[in-house]
Amino acid sequence: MSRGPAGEGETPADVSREQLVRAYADGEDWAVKRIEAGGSEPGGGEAATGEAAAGAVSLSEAERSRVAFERGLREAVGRAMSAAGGAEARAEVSGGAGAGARAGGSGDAEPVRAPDDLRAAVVAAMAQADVSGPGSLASDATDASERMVAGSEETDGAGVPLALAGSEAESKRLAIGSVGGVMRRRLGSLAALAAVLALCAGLVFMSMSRADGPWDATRVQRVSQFITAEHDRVDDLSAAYSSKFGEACSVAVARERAAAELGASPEWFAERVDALLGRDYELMGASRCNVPGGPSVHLLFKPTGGERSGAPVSVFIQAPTEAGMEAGTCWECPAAKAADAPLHVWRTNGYLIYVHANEAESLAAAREAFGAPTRLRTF
Amino acid sequence: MEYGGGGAGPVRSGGVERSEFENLALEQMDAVYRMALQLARHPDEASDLVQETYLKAIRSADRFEERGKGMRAWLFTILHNTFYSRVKREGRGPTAVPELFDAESRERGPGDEGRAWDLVSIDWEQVDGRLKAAIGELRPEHREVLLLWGVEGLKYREIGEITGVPIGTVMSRLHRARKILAESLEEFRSEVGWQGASGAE
Repeated sequence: MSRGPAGEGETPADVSREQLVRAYADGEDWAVKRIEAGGSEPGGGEAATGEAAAGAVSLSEAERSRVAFERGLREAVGRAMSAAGGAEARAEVSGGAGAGARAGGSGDAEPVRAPDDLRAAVVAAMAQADVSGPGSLASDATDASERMVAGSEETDGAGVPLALAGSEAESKRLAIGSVGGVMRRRLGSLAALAAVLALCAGLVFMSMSRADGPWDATRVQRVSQFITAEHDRVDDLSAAYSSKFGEACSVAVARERAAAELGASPEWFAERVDALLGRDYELMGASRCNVPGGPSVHLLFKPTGGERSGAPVSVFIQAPTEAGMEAGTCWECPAAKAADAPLHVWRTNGYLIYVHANEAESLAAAREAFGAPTRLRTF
Repeated sequence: MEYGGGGAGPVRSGGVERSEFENLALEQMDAVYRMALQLARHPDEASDLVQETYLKAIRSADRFEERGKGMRAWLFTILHNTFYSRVKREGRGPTAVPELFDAESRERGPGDEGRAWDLVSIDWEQVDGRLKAAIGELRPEHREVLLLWGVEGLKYREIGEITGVPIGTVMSRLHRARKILAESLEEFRSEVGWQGASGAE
């Protein structure tokens, strides 16, 4: 490698004319300078043999066609690779489970976006790191064998660059829908959650040694992180809420959605929703949700503002599973007590019911309305 | 966002505040997921890769230096290393990517590459489906470079920094990938009876 003639970035030391033309088509500064210096007159192709090393180059008509083709190809590649239906469609062809659900059409497919549950998991991990401090997650599998496979970039053992020179990445032409505003609101509401998760991590570790809960520590942590993050994402009724729920709905509509997601609506569904509405809560929406473990429906309630001034409360109902949890006991995430943001789960008629709120009063109201067992244990 | 600092001022990650670091990182999640999907070719594995990438980023946050515009490239680099480390660990493929640069540095004449580039009047939207299929057949290292070039619009130098290879290798991989796509378009032209510039109707 050597410095380019204008000193702008590295350029290959000895590029062929073909490479130069392609680099020009790609807008590489060093190639653009050389070709623009050669003027725009066609016909320079034959005479230009050896010009690559000498400096200025002018393009022939054929090379101009080539440049147009390369630029068109780049645009087309950009469309093909950024649209849903590309990699996912391929995954579906190769038998990937669930891949087809997110595969779109061809030409006018929506850009690929990260799934909501992935986003929620990352947000939860960030919240946990915030209270635990830098390096708090360092123990989760920094494998000494995990080295950079190819490359000259200096990295640590986990493949994280030690330093990276300024990139032009963020200024490039790709228009990615900004999630910053939503994320800021989401992260802002995670202040309490952060404390919850930090304590949860420690106590879950302790519970592993007891090994008398119905679920292992990994499952408890996954479910806890997902539900608390998902609740905090929508409980301020901001854009994320609108995106997920649309708007408040009737009990009948909620029941239909539950039936669609769970296979059938539980017999007790309307009765228990009504019971919470009777405690001065309003049903703000019902939506499908991917709680780890199986298909679920997420119900969001908020106090009507009358006699009650508590926080919104989420109720997640999960389709019947073989989850290893017996009916008759309500289980609490260990984080709940200290942070006053409890997560409770119990089994009713095969369904799992998760209740979470950022304060105890709303949790108690939902527990009561949805018939939580009085026997309470901690995972 | 004001959390994280408590009463002792904002937590800092490298050159930026922790909250700013998180916002910058989250804003890139779609792009990171897109690249993960191109590497892994399966949504579940892509999600795993992204999670691992962000976990590594979070715990190395104090090492990140913004320098104006580097978050996306930084995350891409972590993702790249994570993916190839997995490939190596799981023995799913070659641990060392074959470098084509030496073999390809003596390029053939333009006529040897087919005449797809002669299709000046090509309707690109018509060939999107064919391109997707051809992209799916590429090797991961070629697909990766193609994505960074075609979707992210990066310069060769930036692609080299992310993938940890010299610019010449970036050019070589890009050339190989484009050549395969051009050949696919050539086939498509034959199938549909397209005319090139010289033979335009």
